[in-house]
Amino acid sequence: MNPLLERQRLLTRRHFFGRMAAGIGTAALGSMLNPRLFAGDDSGAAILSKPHFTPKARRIIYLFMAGGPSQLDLYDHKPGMDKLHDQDLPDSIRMGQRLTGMTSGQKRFAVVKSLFKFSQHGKCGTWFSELIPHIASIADDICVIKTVNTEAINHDPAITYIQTGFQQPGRPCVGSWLHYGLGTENQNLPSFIVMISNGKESDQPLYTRLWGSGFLPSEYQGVQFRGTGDPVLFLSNPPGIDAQTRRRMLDGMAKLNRKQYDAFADPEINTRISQYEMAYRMQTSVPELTNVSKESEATLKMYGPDVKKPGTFAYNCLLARRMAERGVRFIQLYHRGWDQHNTLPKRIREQCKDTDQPSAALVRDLKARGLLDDTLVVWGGEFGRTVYSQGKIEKESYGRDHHGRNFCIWMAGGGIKGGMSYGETDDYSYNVVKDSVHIHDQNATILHCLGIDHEKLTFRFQGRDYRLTDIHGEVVKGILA
Amino acid sequence: MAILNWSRLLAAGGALAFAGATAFAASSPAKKQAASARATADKPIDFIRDIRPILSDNCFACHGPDDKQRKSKLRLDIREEALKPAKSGDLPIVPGDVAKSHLIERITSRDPDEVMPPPKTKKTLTAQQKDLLKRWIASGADYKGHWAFVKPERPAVPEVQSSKFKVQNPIDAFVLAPLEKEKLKPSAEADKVTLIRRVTLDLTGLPPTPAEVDEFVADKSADAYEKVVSRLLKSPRYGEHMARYWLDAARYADSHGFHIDSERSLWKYRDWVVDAFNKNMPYDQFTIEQLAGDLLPEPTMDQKIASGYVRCNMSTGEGGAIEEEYRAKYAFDRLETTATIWMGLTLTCARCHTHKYDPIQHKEYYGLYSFFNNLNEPIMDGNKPNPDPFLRVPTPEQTKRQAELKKLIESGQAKLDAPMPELDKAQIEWQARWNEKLSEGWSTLAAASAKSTLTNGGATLRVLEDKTLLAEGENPESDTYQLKLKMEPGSLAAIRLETLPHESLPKKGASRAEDGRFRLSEFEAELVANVTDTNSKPKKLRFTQTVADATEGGFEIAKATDGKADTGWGVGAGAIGEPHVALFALGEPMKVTTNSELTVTLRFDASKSKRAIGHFRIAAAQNDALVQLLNPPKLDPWQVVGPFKTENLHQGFTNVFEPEKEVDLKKAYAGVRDEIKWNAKADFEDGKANLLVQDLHGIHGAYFLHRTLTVPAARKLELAIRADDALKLWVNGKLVAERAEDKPGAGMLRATVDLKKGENKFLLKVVTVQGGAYFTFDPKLGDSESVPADMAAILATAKTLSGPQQTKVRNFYRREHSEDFKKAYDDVEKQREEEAAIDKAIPVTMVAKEADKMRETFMLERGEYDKKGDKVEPGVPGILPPLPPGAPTNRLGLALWLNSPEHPLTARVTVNRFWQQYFGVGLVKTPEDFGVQGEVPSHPELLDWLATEFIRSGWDVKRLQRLIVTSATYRQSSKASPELRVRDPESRLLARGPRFRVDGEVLRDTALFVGGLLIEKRGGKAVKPYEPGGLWEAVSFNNAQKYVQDKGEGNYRRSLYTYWKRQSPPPNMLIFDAPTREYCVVRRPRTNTPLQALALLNDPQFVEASRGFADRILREGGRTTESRLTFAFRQATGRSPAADEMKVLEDILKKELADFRNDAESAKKLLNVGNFKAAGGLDQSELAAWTTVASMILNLDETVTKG
Repeated sequence: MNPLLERQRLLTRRHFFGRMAAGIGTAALGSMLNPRLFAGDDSGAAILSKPHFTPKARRIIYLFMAGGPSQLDLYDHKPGMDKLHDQDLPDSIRMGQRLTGMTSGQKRFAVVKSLFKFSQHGKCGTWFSELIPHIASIADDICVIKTVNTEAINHDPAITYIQTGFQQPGRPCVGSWLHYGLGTENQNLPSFIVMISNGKESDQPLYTRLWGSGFLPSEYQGVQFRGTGDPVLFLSNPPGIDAQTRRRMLDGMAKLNRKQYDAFADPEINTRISQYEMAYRMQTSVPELTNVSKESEATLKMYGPDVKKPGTFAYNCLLARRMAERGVRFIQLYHRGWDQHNTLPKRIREQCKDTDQPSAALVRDLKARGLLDDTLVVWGGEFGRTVYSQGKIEKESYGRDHHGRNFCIWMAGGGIKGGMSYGETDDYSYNVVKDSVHIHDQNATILHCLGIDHEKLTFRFQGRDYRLTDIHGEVVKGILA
Repeated sequence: MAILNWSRLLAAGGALAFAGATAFAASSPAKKQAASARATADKPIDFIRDIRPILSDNCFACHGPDDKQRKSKLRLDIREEALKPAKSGDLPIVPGDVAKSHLIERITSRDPDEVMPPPKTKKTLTAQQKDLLKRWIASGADYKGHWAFVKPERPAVPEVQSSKFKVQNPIDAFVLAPLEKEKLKPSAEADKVTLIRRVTLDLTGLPPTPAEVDEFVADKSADAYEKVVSRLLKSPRYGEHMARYWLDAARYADSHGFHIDSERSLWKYRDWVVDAFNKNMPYDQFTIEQLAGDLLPEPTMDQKIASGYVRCNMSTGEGGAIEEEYRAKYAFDRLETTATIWMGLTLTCARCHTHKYDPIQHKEYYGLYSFFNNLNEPIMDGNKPNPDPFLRVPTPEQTKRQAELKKLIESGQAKLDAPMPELDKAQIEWQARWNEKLSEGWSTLAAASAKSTLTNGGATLRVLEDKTLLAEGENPESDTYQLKLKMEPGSLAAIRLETLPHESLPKKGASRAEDGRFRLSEFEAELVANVTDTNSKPKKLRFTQTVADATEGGFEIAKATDGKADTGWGVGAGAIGEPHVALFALGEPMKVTTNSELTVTLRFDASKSKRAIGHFRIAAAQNDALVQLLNPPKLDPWQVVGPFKTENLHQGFTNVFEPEKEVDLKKAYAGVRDEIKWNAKADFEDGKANLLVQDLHGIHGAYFLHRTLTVPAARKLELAIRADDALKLWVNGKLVAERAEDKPGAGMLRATVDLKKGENKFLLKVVTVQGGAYFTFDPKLGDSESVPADMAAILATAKTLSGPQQTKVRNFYRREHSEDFKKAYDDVEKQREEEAAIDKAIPVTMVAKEADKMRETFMLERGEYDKKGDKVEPGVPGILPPLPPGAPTNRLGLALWLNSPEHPLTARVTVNRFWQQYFGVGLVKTPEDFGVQGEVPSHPELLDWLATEFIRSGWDVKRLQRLIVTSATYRQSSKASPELRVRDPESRLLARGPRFRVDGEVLRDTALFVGGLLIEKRGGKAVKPYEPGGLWEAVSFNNAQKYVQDKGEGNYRRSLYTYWKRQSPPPNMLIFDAPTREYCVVRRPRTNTPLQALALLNDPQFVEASRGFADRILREGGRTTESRLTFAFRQATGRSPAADEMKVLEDILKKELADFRNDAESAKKLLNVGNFKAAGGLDQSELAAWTTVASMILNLDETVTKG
């Protein structure tokens, strides 16, 4: 073999990926990635040759609760609220914070206590509301963070912010950063998969940008799995084309393409051949992934009655576990309907009915299979909700507006200390009192669990080295295992 | 005028002279920069190439332009500053003396507290970098200004050795010179087939046809290639292709972007860009019209459309959004996009603080920002397609037809208004007869009580013997009378108010005011069905007709029922002293019992000037005959059920569905998707086009509509009907009208049906498919025994009429009695409808408009909208030339500034972007960043030569394209030796021709083109071709937005016209690296992924195109397999296949043919993908086998690559 040619092959990232995809180079990718191989010679020092330190987690399942779940009705227990009920939020607490256009015209800001009972769970004694008994039952495995905060107060900027580190579109999302930084761990499936479930409500939009790669090359964008039709777009052969025909076509094309390579020596050609092979393998591996017929009854039962219905949150949680088993790096679920400006008690009940059991089942299932140790599970939305009622307080009903100054998420698994809660808010759940976790801190911590120093995973764009956490972010050491 | 004389726009001087270079850019332009990106020990140090990147990356953040962040008062980006002692007193740089230069001590220190950059920055210098800095200081620490901020000077064209590489134009000399230095040889010219394919793809976005290839190959003349280039530059496809790149940068889309992301109407701007390229609009004009078309003196429609560029940014309508926040966001985006496109500047940093690398002050950012801070627009887009300001842009056809219609309507109306003596005479008699008939049987209502509602100071109402009421006593500014009235049991169809003159009232009129005028501001009535029943709540009467016999301009009777206190009914001065009548008719007769009570309220608030009615009487239409006349029989609202599944229109038309056997409104049926039930549709209006279903998404469906009509006696009923697409109508179970398929222009289907006494049942079946389905049902209920309710109300008020009432009655009467009039009248009505329809269909496009008063701009601390700092005036950064003298300080001034030949960036940035289109990589690899952190140009002199040449040519865009594509550099073969690929993997040295995968749009357009499916219609509203279902629903608010694929041609237009929704862009474009169009993108990534393979192989759009391709191969490719394969291969790649390639394809074809022959079912399935129907007559197995081969050819690396 021509040694020059061989050297050139090694030097070309396209070909490198081609080889990976073809299953020739199967060693752990993390240690093989050479920065100079990644994006020609321009992205330079950014891409990781190996993680910055030993990762605790190899993958993430991010259960995104879009719309802004009410921390006051789920996790942030405020026993003093009975006394404050229907009283005006004191100025000393509100401190002139800006409000959304939906409540800024309101005459009063009357505190409304949660209708739901809270109790302590697990050995750790973390408080949970009665709405989420299943999540409460895994109290000892999860870390509830009560002091996550963001500056954004409306959905579009807030969800863009928490997913990409910036309120305006244009930056890569957390999944793309990870994919870019760590590469893929499997040969037959996308490395970054997004699933959107259907609940009772779906009243805030999502955006392709939330799983977009921004200024990173587009191969790092998330692949949206659909609830109906081909899970991956264009996965199935056209009607009338069977696997044999497809195989024949690919072999024929490879022959012709190789001839082209001989003439042009363009490494893109070999990459293309490999990508067609990977596509072929995906045609088998994706249906295998989504075929849940061999799951045991006990497992299915754990996820709840919706698990057999494609497109439900429960079904997607089960798929998430199957993806984790198959080495998908970043699995992002979105579940909408948490934007409860009115009739919150009724609507949050329905939301919890859809999400509580599957969320807990996922953690439990991962744990039972030994996967929780190296899988990071994150549960949370883009902001929380106000302690004061939006609209009139009624006996069985109230609403809450957006609140970014503190909200609750939880994390579990790889790298996270279970059985604890972190951070404290004031009596009104309106301000952080102790251990603030800005969303940049949250993202820094997520990267940390994957072995990445968030300050070091950068990409040069428009002359600047960008990172997920912009110029901020501190790893929340207090929750690390 | 092809090129506008922009300088005339300048108030004074006219010349675009700029001040000289600024301090930062004081040294000589970047003339001597070498091409190589790597510095090697044997080369002299070059500050720009070798040193500044190190300082910029590692030092400038703390020791650069930003004085707020500057540490130790040390500044390293300016030589004289760097030679001054720092705060500590140490000299950072001593030219020629490494040992005394404190900078070197600090960067080589091992002490973590001393070493620079500090460890917390996570930046470290490599040994090579440290060495470079040492050598630089040793050699005198020479600084140079940043090349890009110095105006390009036209360099001399270098002398080069002639070689097999024929220098075609100066580009080649600039490319060859460094190659000679690098001891590299350029590649030979590509073969002609490759060449024509390359240039055709590059200039039009489509491949050449084999005929075009043949012609070029056969043309042995010296300028054969130039002729091809000329032809391509003239093709309208050129503009479409060039526009696509521009629209990425301008972030054009068909949706607003934020939150709901609803549709926006801006496509006229997209078409303008295409036209501008095709017309070869000079780039300076192109710039000015987009940035400031609205600000030009007497702007043309096109110039205003061009200003849509300013509106291309995303906008929001999110409920809780704060306007000021988004006002700032819009301006940020507009400024930063403009800076990227025209200047290659990354301004975003300076939003929050002074730029860390480039000499742009925080304050200067806001000087530029202020140009975009003065738009007159609503910040919340309201989720409307055309948030203000917008322009209505009729097509030439629309304008023409509008003018025609105007004339037709005018002349038609004149005909209608002309006297028809005989008819008019008869009409007066008819009118009088009806008035008499309608005046009979009114029951005057006696008041059980009548009083003013004012607790004191109101009128006293006295009931006179004739049951009239007379107001006496106090006469306040505003008064309200309330009357409780006794009624007879039966029904109630209308209330009549008579105002009556009285001796005691001023001017012997009916009003209490001195001038005799009254103002009835509101007339209200409530009926309690049964006063003895406490559950019987008062019901407000809803009047559907209000008529008065007289009125004063501005005080029409309708204003007495409009709910507004400040408007009302009154009669003119000339009518004082006469009795007047106002009629308030109900839509439906109400039931009245012995225990019913009617309350009537008369409000006099309108002018607060004591204008209450003084004498009046109330009567009610209760008499059966009168009720019948005023409220003739009406059809009940439609009940609708559907869609029922049917394979096609014909089957739906002929099949007998359950409702045809029996209408059972309680029954549920199996529908196309779900269970279906009868639903009442009260909003369907007779005589109007009613929307039955928005879209069936490609499925055929049958709908049933049912309603009843109760008539007092048997009679005939005339009706007219039409529907999309087939219909049947039964009356009382008898089929009375049918139409198997709606033909455009066929008009209404008319029928006369027999009604029986009592209830009559109507059943209508409509069978339809995809797109909005409408139906119209127009029954003519009036006859000699009755007139429509609105007519009856008018006729009841007076014998003689005037104004609109008179016209209405006249038209009604004449229509009933003159066929000629009826036709003329209906014609005018139709023309009016058409006029309204055109008016609705006129495209609108968002444009820019400046607010009348300049909005003040303040610096925003940390870029936060609510943290205002100092006030800022419009201005440009000091590092760049000042605004041209006399230029206005608005967007127009900014545009003129950008296009000034003194501006160092605009021309360079522009030619670089074009270069990138052709070669895959720009001369400056970072087209978005020409600042200090950007890459230095690979061929700085070539860049400057092209930039100056571009300006010199009058910003001639086509000329620039021609220059590039006719260069020998461009024409080189892209075959490269492995050595060259190793040495220069990205071809930065340009020793070979470009070779890279084409963009997603070109892939799709090419597939449609060779598949014979491409529809080359230019411009217009976006289209929606194939897209997998569910993508929009999955992300949109309440899953409410659905992608509805177009029928027909929308599937086959060039991808430029595909609907671009920012929240969910077309997937087969995103997969191929298209941006979301949410923000400015001037450089697409180019990836190679398995998802791309899946799309090209399996996307129905591509499968269908393969099928179309196969169809063409069999019809046009000759009779032998060999000729067919050659035909196919040439269509896609331009060249004929070699024997071994032919063999590969032939083998597969044989196997596929055998397989499909054995499995006709599979062949049928494959051939059913997509809408396109082959003409027939071809062997299905053969067509299927060729479809697989066609798909392979479309997927070949060679096909998807420009080589």
